[in-house]
Amino acid sequence: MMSSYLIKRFVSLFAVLLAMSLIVFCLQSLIPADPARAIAGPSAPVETVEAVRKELGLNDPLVVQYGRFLGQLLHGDLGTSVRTRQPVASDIAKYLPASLELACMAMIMGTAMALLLALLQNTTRGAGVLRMIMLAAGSTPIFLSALLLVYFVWFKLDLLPGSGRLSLRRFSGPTGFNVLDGLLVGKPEVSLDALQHLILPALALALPVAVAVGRSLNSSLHDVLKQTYIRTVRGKGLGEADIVVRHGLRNAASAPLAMIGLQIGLLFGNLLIVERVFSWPGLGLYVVQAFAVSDLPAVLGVSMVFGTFYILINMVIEILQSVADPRIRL
Amino acid sequence: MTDILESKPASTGRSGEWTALLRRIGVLEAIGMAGVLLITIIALLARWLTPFDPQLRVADAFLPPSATYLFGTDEIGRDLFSRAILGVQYTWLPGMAIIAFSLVLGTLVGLLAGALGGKIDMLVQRLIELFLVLPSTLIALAVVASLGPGLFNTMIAIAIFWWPWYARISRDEIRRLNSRPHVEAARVAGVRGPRLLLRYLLPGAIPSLLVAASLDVANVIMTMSLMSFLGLGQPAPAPELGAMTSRALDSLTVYWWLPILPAVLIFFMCLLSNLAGDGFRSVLRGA
Repeated sequence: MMSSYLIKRFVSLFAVLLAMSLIVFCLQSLIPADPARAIAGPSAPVETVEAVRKELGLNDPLVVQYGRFLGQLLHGDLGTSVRTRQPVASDIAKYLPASLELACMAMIMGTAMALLLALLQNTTRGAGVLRMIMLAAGSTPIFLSALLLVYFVWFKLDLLPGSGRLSLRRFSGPTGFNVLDGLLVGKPEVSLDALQHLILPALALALPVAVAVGRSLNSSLHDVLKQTYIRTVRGKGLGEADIVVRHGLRNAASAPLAMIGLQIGLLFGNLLIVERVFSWPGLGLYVVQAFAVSDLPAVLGVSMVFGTFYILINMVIEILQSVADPRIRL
Repeated sequence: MTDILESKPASTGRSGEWTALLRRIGVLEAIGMAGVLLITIIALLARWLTPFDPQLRVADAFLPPSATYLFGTDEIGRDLFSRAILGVQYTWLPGMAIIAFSLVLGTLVGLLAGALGGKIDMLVQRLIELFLVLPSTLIALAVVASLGPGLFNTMIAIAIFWWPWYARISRDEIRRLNSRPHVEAARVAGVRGPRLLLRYLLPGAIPSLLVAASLDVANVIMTMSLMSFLGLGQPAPAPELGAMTSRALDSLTVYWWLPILPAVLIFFMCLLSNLAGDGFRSVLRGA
């Protein structure tokens, strides 16, 4: 069962990744400027440009070029960044931990807030007010919530830092995840500082996740709580909180899990904005800076990495769905 | 006495209908629908509604919001409110165009796939699935980055990833309608081809499609302003709301109105269209 599912899943994963690489390849060939001319320099003679063209294989049929592009991808070669003049892959390795740390924190906060919202809506009165709050939060562009957090919490109230990853100038740990590294090298104050820097940007990223997942969880929880087996548990005299937590949540998990998957895709886009507002030195900021100078290899390389993450995470979510609700067959 | 009794049914006739409709839609949702209408009018008439010339220096730089300059003035003394009104136009009208284009394309593709069935349906379904699993925002960003920034390229990049959602709804609705008695009857009566599609299948699919599209308006606005914020919209002097915010990012702590107020306008556009979408859904579901 499981293995045939995995095989089927890996085949479709492969197809999707292939499609994505094809899109990226097509976009690369769309670059208006001639890459051979760019490398040879604007004043180079035509023969030099032609030689570079041959060296790069730009005269080969497109299929051959695509094949070569795939081969490079498989070796982790994403090309060279025009801006940093470093291989895109090593740039990504450098900036990925910062983004991953932020994204994980955001997903944890978002899911926790979603859970809280759905539970409150299903157990207390005043759901109308909550609905309005969620509607307003869902209509707020991510840069507005990020700016408001920076302005009020950092600038006006000075409660939490609103820029960068750490107050220390130089700190680099073994994993690149500052919260973890602080503990690993025996400096818990670094971990605490890193955590404080994480809160505001992660909160900005978590708000849309909380609203979307909360809404989905709320409606499926609402449906589950009307089922007869819930009536039976209630008849056995279990407390309302127990009923919701032990019998409601698990059965209501499927749709919100799918929503989490969808939100991760949006999170990657929002990461660019939030890292820009908070000067967070991660992949988002890297891409924003790449946009500014049309550094296409960098943009496409990061898209490829984020896209692969997104597709893999959604596969894991499908498996989780079937664990939560065995009626969903893989 | 008799006057009151007699006049009562007549007066509740009209206003009663309106009250019933309003109750079904909800007051907030009705406000949203009125708001969307207002935004559309503002967007269409933007050029004549700006109190000052949005491209010219009209006062000192960095004036805070006041009765004359509602949103204050920017770094070269241009009236931010006038620029923001044009920004509403630059966001709202292209957003509507993206929705309309995706809706038409998606509906047609879904209609053909659903009605023809067989291999074509299979192929279209796989294609739609592929589009839906790809990380659309990211690829749309990459597409604009590759094609070069600009309003038209932004619109294309978003629309490419928007139509498959409608294609799926349209296809599923058509499949559902295909086996309905009235379609069977039409088929038995000899109705075929485009006439069957357009007269008997399409009208049944339209309400769901319109509801989906109206609930999508805020998403399109949000995606467009995200791209504009990232500098992928029109080049510098154009008053796009997202770009106005990102260009003024560094002056947040000194001149807060410059980055915040344009973003607040985007918030209101999204809030009103979300409310209106909910209201629209109640109207179509009820009808």
